Amino acid sequence: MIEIRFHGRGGQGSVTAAELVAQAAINEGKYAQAFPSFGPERRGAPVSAFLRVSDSQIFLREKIEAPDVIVVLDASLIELVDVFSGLKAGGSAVMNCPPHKRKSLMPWNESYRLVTVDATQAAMNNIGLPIANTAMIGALLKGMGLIKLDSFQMPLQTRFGRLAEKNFQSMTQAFHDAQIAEPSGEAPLSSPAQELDFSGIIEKEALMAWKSLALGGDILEPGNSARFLTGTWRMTGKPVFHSDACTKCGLCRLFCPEDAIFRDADEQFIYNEDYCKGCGQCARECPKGAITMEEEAWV
Amino acid sequence: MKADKHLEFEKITAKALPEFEALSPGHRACPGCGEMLALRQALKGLGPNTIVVNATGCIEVVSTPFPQTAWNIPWMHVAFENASAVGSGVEAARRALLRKGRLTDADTTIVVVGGDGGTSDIGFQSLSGALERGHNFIYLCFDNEAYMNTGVQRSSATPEFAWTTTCPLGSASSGKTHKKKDLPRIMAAHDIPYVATATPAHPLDLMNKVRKGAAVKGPAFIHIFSPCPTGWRMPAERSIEIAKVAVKSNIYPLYEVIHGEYVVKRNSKNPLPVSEYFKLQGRFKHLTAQDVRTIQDRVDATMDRLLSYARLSDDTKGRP
Ligand SMILES: Cc1ncc(C[n+]2csc(CCOP(=O)(O)OP(=O)(O)O)c2C)c(N)n1
Ligand code: SF4
Ligand code: SF4
Ligand code: SF4
Ligand SMILES: [Mg+2]
Repeated sequence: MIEIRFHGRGGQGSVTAAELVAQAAINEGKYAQAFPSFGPERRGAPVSAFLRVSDSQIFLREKIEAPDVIVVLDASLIELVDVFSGLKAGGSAVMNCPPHKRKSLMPWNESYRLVTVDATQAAMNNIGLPIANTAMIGALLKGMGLIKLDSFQMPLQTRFGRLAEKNFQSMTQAFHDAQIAEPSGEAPLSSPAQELDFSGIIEKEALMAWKSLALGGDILEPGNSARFLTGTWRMTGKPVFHSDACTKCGLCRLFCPEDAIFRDADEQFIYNEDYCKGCGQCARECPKGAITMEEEAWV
Repeated sequence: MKADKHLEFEKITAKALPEFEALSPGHRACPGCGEMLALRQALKGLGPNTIVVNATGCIEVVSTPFPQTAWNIPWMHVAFENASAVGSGVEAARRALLRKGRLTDADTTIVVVGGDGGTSDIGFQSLSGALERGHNFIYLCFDNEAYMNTGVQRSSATPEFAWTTTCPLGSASSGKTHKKKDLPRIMAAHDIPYVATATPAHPLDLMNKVRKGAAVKGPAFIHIFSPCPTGWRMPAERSIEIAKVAVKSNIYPLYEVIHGEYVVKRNSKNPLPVSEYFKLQGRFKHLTAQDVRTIQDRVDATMDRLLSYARLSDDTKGRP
C-alpha cells in the first residue's frame, strides 16, 4: 500500500486530484480511497487530502500521518504548514515549483526524494487557467510510476467533460517536464522542518480541545477564533499602505471583512498580517489609491 | 394621519465611527466575503448590548468552527426553520424577566440573522409568524442569492437567469427560470414598523438603518445585499464594487418602509444599464441580449412602482 498526502489551498483542487488518482487506480483493478480533511475553510485556506492505493483491500480509515509521498500543489505552503510532517525516510515530495525556486527546495533533498515541476505553467499552457491539480498528477505518476497515464482518460472525461482533453494534456506535459532528484542522503533524517517554527503561523495558541468544553457545548470564551491566523490564506499578495497619500478617511477599515486594518502607534493605517486574507478590497476601494497589493516574499 | 418618518435614533457619522467589533478575526469566510463584511458593519452599528440568534448558513459555519467562535456577544445557533421562533422566545422571556424585576436592562437588542435561503424559503413561516405577533426584534436577512454554504444551490431569492449548481447551463437549462422573490415587499406587507434595504458598500447607511430598526418598538426587517465572490463567480476584490453597481443600476434599490410609508433613495436621472451589473459576474456571463432587456424592463418597472409608493407616501424629500 502506498499512502499519499496532498497539500493545497481551498479552491486549488487537491481533493479532486486525490479522487481522480483513486478512480484511475480502481479502473486498473487496484484498491484505492481518497478523502479530504474536513473543515469550514474556504478559498485560499491551507487544506489537505488523503489517498491510499493498494493491491489488496484497504481497511484503514484514518488520516495519513506518515505518508510515503506528499504532493504540494502550492509552493507557498512550505513556510506556512509543515507539509513534510511524518513523511517517511526516503519518501517522495512532489512539488509544484517554478524553475527559479527549485534551488530553495534543495535542503529538503538531503532526506527526501524531490519531484519538481512547474505545474502552474503546464496548466496555463494547456488549460489557460492556473489550475495545477491535474498537472500535479502527471508529476506524481512520473515520480512514482503508480498508474498509467492513459488510465486517466476515463476519470477525466467523467469529471471535466469537454475540458477533459485539456486537463489530460496538462497532465501529460507535467509528466514529461517533471524532474526527479534522488535524496543526497548525506544528512541524517532531521528535516529542515524542525528548524522552521510553524507554531505561530496557524495558531497563536493551541486550539481548544473538545474534552475541555463546557456542558451543552457552550463556548464560554468570546472571540476565540482570533487564535486561528487566517493570514496563511493570502495567495496573491498583501496590501501595502502608502501613508503619504492616505487621508485617514477610514473607509478601508470599514470595507475589510476580516477587521484586519488598524492604526499603528503613529496613527497610520496598516494591515494585520496575522488575519488579512489578501482579498484586495481595501486597495480597490481606497478613494486615494493609497493602498497597493504587492507580492508576498514567499519561498 | 402622517406617520413619523424621522425615527428617533442616534445617528452614526463618518467622523464618529464606533470602535466596537462584535466579531473577532480568524473566521473562515472566503476572502472578500460581502456577507461577513455586511454582518460586521451591521453589528458595529448595534453595539455590544446585543443578542444574536443565527440560522444555519455561511455566517454560522464560518463564524463558529466549533469549539471556536468569532462572536464577542451572546450568540445562539439554531435550525433554519425556527430562527425567528427562537428570537421570539428570547424576546418574550426577557420581557417576562423584566416584568418580574429579575432583569433590569431593557435596552438589549435582539437580532435574528439568516441567509436568503434561511429567510425566504426555509425559515419563512416562523418569520412571518413572529412579525405578525409583533416581537420586538430585528431580522437581518443576508441575501447572497443562493444557498452558498452548501455549494451554490438556487433559492427563491436567486435572480432570474442566474447560474447556480442546481440551475446549470447546458442544452436543457440556461440558469434560473423563475423570478427572484421580493422579500422586503412581503415583509412590508406585514405592516411592521420598519423595513429597509441596505448594502455593505454603503456602510453608514447600513449601520444607521440597523440602528433605526433597533430604535423602533416592534419588529424590524432589514434586507442586506450580500455579494458572494465565490458563488457569483467574481474576483474577491469586487464585493463592494458590485454592490455599488447594483444600486446605481437600480438592480438593488435602497429604500425604507417606515410605518407603512416608503422612503426611496433616488438615483440620478440616468441609472447605469443593468448590463453593467451583469458583466462583472461569471454567474450571468451566458445572458442573451434578450435576457438583459427582460431584466432592464423589470428593473425599470420596479423602480417606477417604488417611486410611486414613495409619492403616495407624499414625501420623497423628507429623507432623514
Ligand atoms: C433543514 C435544513 N436543510 C438543509 C440544511 C443544509 N444547509 C446548511 S447551510 C445551507 C445553505 C444556507 O443558505 P442561505 O440561508 O442562503 O445562507 P448562505 O449559506 O447563503 O449564507 C443548507 C442548505 C440544513 N442545515 N437544514
Ligand atoms: S481608504 Fe485609503 S485614504 Fe482612507 S484611510 Fe484607508 S488608506 Fe487612507
Ligand atoms: S486585503 Fe485589505 S480588505 Fe482584504 S483582508 Fe486584507 S486588509 Fe482586509
Ligand atoms: S461562499 Fe460566499 S457568502 Fe459564503 S463565505 Fe464564501 S463568499 Fe461568503
Ligand atoms: Mg444565501
